[in-house]
Amino acid sequence: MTRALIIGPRENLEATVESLYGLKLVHIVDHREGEEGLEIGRPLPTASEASEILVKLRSIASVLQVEETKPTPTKEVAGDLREKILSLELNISEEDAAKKKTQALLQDLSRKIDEVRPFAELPLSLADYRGYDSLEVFVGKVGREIDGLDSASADYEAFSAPGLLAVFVPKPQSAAMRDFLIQHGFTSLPVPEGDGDPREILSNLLAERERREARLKEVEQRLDTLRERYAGFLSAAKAHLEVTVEKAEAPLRFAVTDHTFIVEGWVPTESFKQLERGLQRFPGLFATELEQNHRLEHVEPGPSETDPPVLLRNAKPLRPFEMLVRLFSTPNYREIDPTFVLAFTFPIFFGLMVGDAGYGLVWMVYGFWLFRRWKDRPWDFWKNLLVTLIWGGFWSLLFGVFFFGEAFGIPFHHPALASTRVELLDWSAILGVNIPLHTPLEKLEQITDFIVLSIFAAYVHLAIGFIIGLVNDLGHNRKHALGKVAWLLILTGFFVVMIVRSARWPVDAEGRTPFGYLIWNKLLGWFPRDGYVYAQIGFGPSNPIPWAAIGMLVGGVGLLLATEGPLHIMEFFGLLANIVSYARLAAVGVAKAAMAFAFNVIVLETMIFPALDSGNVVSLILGFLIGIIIALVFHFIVFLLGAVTAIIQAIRLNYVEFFIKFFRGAGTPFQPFGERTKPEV
Amino acid sequence: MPAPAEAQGLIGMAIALTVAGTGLATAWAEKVIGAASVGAIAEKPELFGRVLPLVVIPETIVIFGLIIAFLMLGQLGT
Repeated sequence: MTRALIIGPRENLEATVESLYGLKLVHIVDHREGEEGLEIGRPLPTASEASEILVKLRSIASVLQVEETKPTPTKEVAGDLREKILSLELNISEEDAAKKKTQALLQDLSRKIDEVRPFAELPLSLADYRGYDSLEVFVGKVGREIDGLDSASADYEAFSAPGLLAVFVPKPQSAAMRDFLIQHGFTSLPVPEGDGDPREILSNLLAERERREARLKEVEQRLDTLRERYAGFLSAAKAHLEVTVEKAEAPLRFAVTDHTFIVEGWVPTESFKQLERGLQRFPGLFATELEQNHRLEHVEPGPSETDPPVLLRNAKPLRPFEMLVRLFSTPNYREIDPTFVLAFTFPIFFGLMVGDAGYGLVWMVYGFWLFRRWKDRPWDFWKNLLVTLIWGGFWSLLFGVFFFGEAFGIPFHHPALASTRVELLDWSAILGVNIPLHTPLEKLEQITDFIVLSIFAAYVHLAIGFIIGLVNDLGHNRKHALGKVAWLLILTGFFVVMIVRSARWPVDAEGRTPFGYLIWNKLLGWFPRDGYVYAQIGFGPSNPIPWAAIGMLVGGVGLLLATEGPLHIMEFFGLLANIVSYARLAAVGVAKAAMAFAFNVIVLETMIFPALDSGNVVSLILGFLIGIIIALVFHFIVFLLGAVTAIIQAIRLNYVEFFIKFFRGAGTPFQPFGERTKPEV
Repeated sequence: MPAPAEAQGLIGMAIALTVAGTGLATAWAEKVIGAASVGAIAEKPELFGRVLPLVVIPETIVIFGLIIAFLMLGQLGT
């Protein structure tokens, strides 16, 4: 980033704003009032009018419920925008008032109707319920018919309808009657105002309501027509006005003197020439570089307020992964953008967890199909996510074919110890060709090997994290950089000890060589073998704990104490937990495979095999048809569940285990003046 | 090296207890964190990226349980 300064005479202000907006190159640094004796600029004269209309327009849009559709191509909006919007506002506010009034009236009517309705059931006029000196009237709802009113009072008159009761009692007996009624689940109702036959009142009210409802529908229809006619205009006008306001208010971010203005901002260093050329046509305007390739003055590695904004730059296929980094935090100007690591580790972890050629292929095909449909969609959160998942599908396919050798839960070759008919089924038998790929890892059999593989992945991933941290700190603070070396030593020590433990036997019960043994003897063959024998916890004479690994652990802790201080020792076991945490790769992978296998067993044993054995054409076709439909549903469940868990766990491994090792974030994203962005997510 | 036959039942129960206990602990922890995080996201949606790792941190507990369970499964004869 280059810090640029643009200075020009005030009469050119408007034209400069126009061209800066068009260039989309400068991330403007807001000028603060009084800084260096310079005042902030005043907005252009168009600002107040434009924002006033914009407010009106937003209120119209909310009345008409115009939804923010995809950004309409900003067609030229006619000059008399103001007049058009004002007349539209007049029109709409009238309709809106009518609508609100009618709605309120309707509510009132409904309440009245609810009040009168019960009384219409009783054969009395409303006037009959009040105006007595010696009588008490109880009207109300009852749960069920009440018998034995005479037990409360000998002298009464009652009228009842289903669920309703009206009782007239002389005043002296009213207390006894009230108690009796309440005991029998009576709740009294207020007698509505007015007199006359409640049935008549009710039917009048209902007719009134119908009329009002028709009127409301009319108004709503008119609003609908207005919406249809003006929706396009409104969103175009809104976009146009928002741009106008942003431009008109830009001088608020500039510094001005009586005759000149000054814009300060950041420009990508290689784009500075372009900026200069773009501004050449204005006389008296000149742009200059304050500092080229901004150097950082202070040594602390943390972000600082004066840091330039950050523009992430990665190769195009990796760019969607920037979204995953930004979701955590924008990297600051002083550190390496981890996108290039994430772009591999995220889909590889996803692939390891899904690890099935069938699902991987489906993900890829579906992803590409959706991607083509979304060709014109802007690069928002979902589109970025889609591309990351296509990569995930790619790695799943790769791992599924070459590593786990299975598709849709059915292996390419059945395991050696298979005994049941389902276990014996494999793709080689189904397709009738012997697939030449033999799996090095059967997920459901070699769980320990899968865990060892996860720990290997943990070592590689965490080591990359510490190395990035080391590079980040190298320029600023040697001490912190040495701390990263200490962590790297401890990590390697832990890893070697774990691998040595898993390399106990050269062959397991089924005659396979465990992964740990392979890694220890092939990959780590150069590592010094001499060590401490501790047979009680599995470090026998053939695989003692190497002295070198112990040395790394002790030396790492010593170095850590010297560089980062004693508090960091607390994280010693945290690192161990981090390593073991990668076992989730194995756990999710095995769980997903087991689920697919279980569903296959259900479908095969209850539908496909009986159909095959029946020897009857009809039941054969029927069994296959139903079996395949149910299998599709089952596999769809596994597919979705597997994908969701794999996404979350893959992100988590990167955010929690990986990023915490080195990532500071809190950078300001580069937002050039003129680029209109919508917030992500 | 499988454990003696009379201990196998106890090992099976130990495996079940490990998975059940760690699963419960994880669920409880995530419930508390999840409720708080949703509140935070409602206030500031841009916190999503920061909050997601916090929510899934307790999952490590059940992963440890799973590992221990696998190790104990190795002690069971077939």
